[in-house]
Amino acid sequence: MIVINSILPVFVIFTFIYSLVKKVPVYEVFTQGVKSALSLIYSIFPAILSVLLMSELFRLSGVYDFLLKLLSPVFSFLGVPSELMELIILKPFSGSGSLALLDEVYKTYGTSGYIPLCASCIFGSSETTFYVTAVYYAKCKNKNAVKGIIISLTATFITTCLACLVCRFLV
Amino acid sequence: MNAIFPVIIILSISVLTFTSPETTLKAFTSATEKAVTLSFTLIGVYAVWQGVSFLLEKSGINKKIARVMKKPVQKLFNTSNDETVYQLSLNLTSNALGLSGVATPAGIESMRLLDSENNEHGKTLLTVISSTSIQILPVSVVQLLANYGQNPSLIIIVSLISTAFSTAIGILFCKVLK
Repeated sequence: MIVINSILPVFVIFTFIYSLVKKVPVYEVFTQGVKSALSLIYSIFPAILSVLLMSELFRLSGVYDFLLKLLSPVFSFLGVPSELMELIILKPFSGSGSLALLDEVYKTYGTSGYIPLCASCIFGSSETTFYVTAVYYAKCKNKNAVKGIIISLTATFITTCLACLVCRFLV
Repeated sequence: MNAIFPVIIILSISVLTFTSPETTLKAFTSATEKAVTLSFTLIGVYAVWQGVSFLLEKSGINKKIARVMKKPVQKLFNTSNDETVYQLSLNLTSNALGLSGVATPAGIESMRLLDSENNEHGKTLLTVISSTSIQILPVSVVQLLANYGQNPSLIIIVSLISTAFSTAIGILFCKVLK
């Protein structure tokens, strides 16, 4: 833990010292970098807003609940506990939303045992696919990301099913 | 996104029109509010990291990093451009360490460079690797568990295995469907 935590500060110190040694005008270059962050946000803001809007509507409209009901038999057939379905479906859409759900799981079931362990695997095995994809493609001309999204969701789904199976033997 | 975005928007708003039309406006305001708050937070995070990142570039450390990662990244992504290799290396390593403030700008830049090389395979692969994010320390989960006073070692190990597994499956799919 301590080793991992100190990678970052050591890396920053090293960068500054090395830049000084190489006679880089550190302050000037650093502020230029800061300036570029503004244009970066400027170019990804449309993606951020659109994906958040999509996720919000998806959740509030009940389409999400409908999908939950529709997929329920599939998940129970595959041995995924029904308590975790919500987390699985929300994860590709919303990072903060799924983190709140994970917290809910810990609150209800504690932090050890089958369900919490499964939940942690599901949460850890994927990112918020739609958000990441939209933001990463923000500066691309060809924005067709369907193949990548489908592969990501499939890989995550397979992992989820396997993780739920493996966790059974761990507890 | 051109397919998914309209489908979800149309479907959701149609349902809302029948069930509770006033929620539509509520969703608009809460979503835009979240987007603005998030963007402002991100400006701060990215600003610091872009500052450091510019120093990496100007001092020439970036070339050293790219040299170390060159062989595996080149092979995986089919690219020979040094700048692309560097941005990809930076994205992959910082993602693994859970530093999204560094990873995201590098990821956007990598994607832009791959796009200009017309490297569709590389773009798909980068999407998949970032979405199945291999992470050495799942920071948010660890923070959450700390609130419950729980030693997170078992959960960390198990989720590390599962994230490595999902990334591996993803890369495999990309290679097969290339």
